[in-house]
Amino acid sequence: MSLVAEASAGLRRSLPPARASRGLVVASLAVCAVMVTPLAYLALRAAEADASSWDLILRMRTVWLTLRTLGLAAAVTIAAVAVGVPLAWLTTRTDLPGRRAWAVLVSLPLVIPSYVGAFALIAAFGPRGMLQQLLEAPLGVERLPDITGFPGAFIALTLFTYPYVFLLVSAGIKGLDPSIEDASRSLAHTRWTTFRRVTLPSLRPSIAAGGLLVALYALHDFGAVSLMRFPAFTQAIYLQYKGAFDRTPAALLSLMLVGLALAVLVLEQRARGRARYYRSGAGTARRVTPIELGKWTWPSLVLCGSVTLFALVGPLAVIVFWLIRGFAAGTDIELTLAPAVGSLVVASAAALAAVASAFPIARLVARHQGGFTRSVERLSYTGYALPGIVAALAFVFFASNFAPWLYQSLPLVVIAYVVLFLPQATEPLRGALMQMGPRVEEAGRALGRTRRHVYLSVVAPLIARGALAGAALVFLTSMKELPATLLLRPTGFDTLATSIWTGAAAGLYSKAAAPALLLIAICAVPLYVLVRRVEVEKIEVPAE
Amino acid sequence: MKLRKLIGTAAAAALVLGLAGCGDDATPAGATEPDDDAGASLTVYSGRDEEFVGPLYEQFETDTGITLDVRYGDSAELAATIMEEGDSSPADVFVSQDAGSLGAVAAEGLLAQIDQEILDRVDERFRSSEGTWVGLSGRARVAAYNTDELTEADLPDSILGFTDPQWKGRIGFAPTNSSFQAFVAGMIATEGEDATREFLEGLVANDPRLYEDNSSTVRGVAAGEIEVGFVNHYYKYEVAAEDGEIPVENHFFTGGDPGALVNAAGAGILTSSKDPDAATRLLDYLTGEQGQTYFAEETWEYPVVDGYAPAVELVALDDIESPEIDLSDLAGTLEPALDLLAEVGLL
Amino acid sequence: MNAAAEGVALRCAGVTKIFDDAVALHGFDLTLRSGTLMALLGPSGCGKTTALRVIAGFEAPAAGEVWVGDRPVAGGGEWVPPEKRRIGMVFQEWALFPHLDVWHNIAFGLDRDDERVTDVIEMMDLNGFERRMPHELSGGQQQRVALGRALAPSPEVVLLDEPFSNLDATLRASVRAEVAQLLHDVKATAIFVTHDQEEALAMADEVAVMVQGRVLQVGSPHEVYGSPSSRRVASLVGEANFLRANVGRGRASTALGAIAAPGVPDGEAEVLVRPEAIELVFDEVGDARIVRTEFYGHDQLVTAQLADGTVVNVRLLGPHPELRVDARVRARLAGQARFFSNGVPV
Repeated sequence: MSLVAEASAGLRRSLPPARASRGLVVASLAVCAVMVTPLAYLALRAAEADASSWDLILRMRTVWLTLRTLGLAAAVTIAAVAVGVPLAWLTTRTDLPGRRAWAVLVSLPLVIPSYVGAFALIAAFGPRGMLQQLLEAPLGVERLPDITGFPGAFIALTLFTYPYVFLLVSAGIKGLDPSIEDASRSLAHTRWTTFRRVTLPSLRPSIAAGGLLVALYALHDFGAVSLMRFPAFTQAIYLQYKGAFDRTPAALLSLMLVGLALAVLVLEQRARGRARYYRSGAGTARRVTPIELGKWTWPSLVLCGSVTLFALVGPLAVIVFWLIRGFAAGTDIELTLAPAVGSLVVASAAALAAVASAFPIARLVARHQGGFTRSVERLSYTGYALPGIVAALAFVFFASNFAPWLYQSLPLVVIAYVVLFLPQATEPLRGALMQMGPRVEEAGRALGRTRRHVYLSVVAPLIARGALAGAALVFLTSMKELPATLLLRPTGFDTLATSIWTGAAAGLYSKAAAPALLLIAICAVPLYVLVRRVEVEKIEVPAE
Repeated sequence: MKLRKLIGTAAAAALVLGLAGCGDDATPAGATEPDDDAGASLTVYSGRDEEFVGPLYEQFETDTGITLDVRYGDSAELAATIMEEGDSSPADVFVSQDAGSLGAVAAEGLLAQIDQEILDRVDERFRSSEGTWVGLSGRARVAAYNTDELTEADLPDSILGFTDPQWKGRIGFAPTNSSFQAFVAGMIATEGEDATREFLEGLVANDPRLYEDNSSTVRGVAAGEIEVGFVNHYYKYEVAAEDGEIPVENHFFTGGDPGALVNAAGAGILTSSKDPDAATRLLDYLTGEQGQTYFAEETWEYPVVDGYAPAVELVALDDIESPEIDLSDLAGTLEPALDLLAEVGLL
Repeated sequence: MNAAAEGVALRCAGVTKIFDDAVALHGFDLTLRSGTLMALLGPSGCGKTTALRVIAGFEAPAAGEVWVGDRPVAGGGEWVPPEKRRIGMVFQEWALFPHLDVWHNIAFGLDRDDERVTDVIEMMDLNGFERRMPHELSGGQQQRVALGRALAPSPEVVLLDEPFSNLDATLRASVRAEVAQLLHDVKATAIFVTHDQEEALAMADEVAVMVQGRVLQVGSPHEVYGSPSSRRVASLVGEANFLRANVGRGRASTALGAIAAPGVPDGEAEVLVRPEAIELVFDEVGDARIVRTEFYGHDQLVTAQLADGTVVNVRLLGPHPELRVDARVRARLAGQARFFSNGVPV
């Protein structure tokens, strides 16, 4: 660190954070204007509430609903961290046999939509599911315990969301300075206490970010909780819309859900802690010696294998089984490419738009902490906490009445995806900006370059991977999105998700199977990009 | 943006001219000459699945030359969409799986009066008393049972019989599904809230297996997970068409039993429709020969127009004696039904 | 520190470490006496850091043995994990725990010994910074935290991996002196890795010169500078001029004239002359010529080309304004000369 840098480090402590440029403020306000649409709609509907709607909401049942939903979200988050962190550590730091292959396999469940996954779980592991049928002949098992309800919702959500934690934490581990673990070992701490007292706390930001995505997913998910018949908040909201056709209580419930999401956000900000995680210095490009698992090799392989079995192989097997049965029964299974193209187009556009919208927000969060930033950041998360139908109806209302030229057009679908999934793009970008640190930019500018030039030549390449990761996550999630797509798509426009729905809604699983497989196959591509990103960050240079 | 506005205006102008042209030539409903509405197009929000009604819509296009832009979705979600769109709705016709969704949209004043001639064709039970929607097909609630485990004689005459402890662990249904909720709403309307609560508590005491929807309930019966499932009558045929032969038969409740509710899938024309005449032709078609025959033969439902009979062996509607309820009003009793379901722990 | 005075604190014998593609250590031998501050000096890529990591227990050697005091810790069927070796380490980039403040960084290796933490903070002059997070400290302060953290549990040996490479030149000299003083004050037994010969000579009690995975010579700074064990060591430790010499009957003729060569066998040899052992005298008819000069104030480095074309570096004290580029000079030996034959001293 030069004297100048040292002096500025001193100044940094006493001065408030640098003021954000006007362009940055304007850009983030523009993004917020779109993000606020669902909230404005909900406020509008909630304002119509009369005493009876309030009566409907303010009763013990709602308290239970809240507790149940929070309980589910908390349990799923803890479990996803408990599964995702060890897997990330095993596949990045140890000599686990085939660890690269495992890294891809255990992240693949991310591409399975939770409604498809939950359906497959029931079909496979239900009381009289495929597993029972396999066991019946040899063991005489007549029925397995019922998995619906809390256990089912908990298992399904955990299995299909832990990859968020796995991916973010894997990247976090790769970005970690391995010397701090050595330092701890040299200070008389065993491998285990080192993991607990140094590695885990240093990974707190990535664990918190992954946990946040999981927690909010569990709050807004409808597919898995409804298939597993667990009465959560989203189910109550859907019931108001679908059973009672009453928008006002639905809006009140949705606002409460937003409140829950904000509470989760505050928790996450606490969890991020005081520490800063700019990687110190130039970053030692030292080879990390893989940790020998020894007698733990087999238990580790069993862990990876069983997660893959339940989260990936099981659902895939069920889908393939349906497909084969459909062919055998002569069901007319046409594989048209139009829905695949449709999915690709909207999901790619959403990925690009989300990264562009996330940039100003990520930058504010990484560089200009303060009240304004906190409000912007929290607002940007509200869409992610809402069930798709709520955000979709908000856009139905505003677009059909005030922007009919936009209504039922592809751009509106893309906007809705951005509102729903923005945080998935913000998180990795923020991480990249934090890891790069502000000094790099200052160095560029000190060399007499303009702000624009520094952005293009220094910042852009350094955060490209973060942006790519964000784009890939948004792409994946958009590919799977159903409720908003159904309500907002142009008439006659199909995506793979709507094709799955078309088949499943008619009870024709074999018709849903083909698009489901195609969806998973297509999603595997951006997923590969994500996993590669983690791999590439490992710089193989022999020590000294 | 300017360009878009220009295109929008031009399109609107073209539309108006087109409409004017159609209006001049409008022919009385019921006519079937293929080309008088040629060039007209309708936007249909269809809560009925493409799998089942798609071919019928296509046939309509061929027969009349009217183009249909069909937007498929869940009936209730489409109803919610129409309610949000209000007068700006691009839809002309709303086709729904159930009367409740139509009733909800009608209650917002968004459905127009339907041609009396069409209304009159349809059994009074299966249309709106205000004339805002008309039934297209009827579906009866039944107890689908596993024929390997049970015979018709084992089953009670009334659905209330299933509260008997002997059915413990043997029954199942889909409480989140609107067809089950409509049945509960109907029961509240005819039997009162206390009797309905007692019935539901009796069911709960028998430890029912709960399903996501009707077809998985039928699959549960077929797989032997349960012996009896409360579903709509045609799911047995749908599942059999997909899975092949299944050991499932329908047990109908008759004589005005509370379990005997016959609901209707129906359609209505939106007040905001830009081409009510073409929309009327669609309703005419669906309640006409092609439509009624199609529902009888292809979706295994009850035709709702005199002179058409079910294509599969179903208990006659007259024998079922579905409770006397205005199906549009079911939307009104849904709220207490949901409360009750939640109260007994089924939601 | 805990080992007996003058006892051996650390011993490496024949340590070999092979990475996938390269041999990093190749028969690495080293003995460190208690209370000694040793510099491990070598060019980049010679295996210095690997040696430290093997000693600390972060890498397992393929062959050879490592002993800490009288305990074998690696080799011969023994393996003691790093946390049981009682060896402290200061990392190249300090590796401070980013999530812990100064106090907790220093206390990390201790079992609830608040007094010791206070002492170390006092010793490291970090009073008032206890609650600062690492990113809120200056480079010098981070350095002191890293050192304090390593010293706090009173390890048998402290290893410092290029500890000053992260500091800029101005700061480096003062921090270096400070650290050397601290290590001496606590009588620490320590090895520090460096590629800077000046740093090694200035700080260390003993210098181990390392090339290509093995130690070539260990000795006091005076020994390794004055009596290098090989031509290679001579050129690594300090600046070296090598002149061709023709030896005959105890005399050698070189470009600096005839010099005494007692005991040197007759024939071709090389002679090592350090820059301060050559004298240059301004002489218009001298047979040497100045090629380049670098003036440092207290001294200057002058490069001269001798009669036979050999180029030598000469260090002269005080100002010599007359020695400009292209000036003619006479050069003569004014100090020690050491004879080498086939790269080894004779």
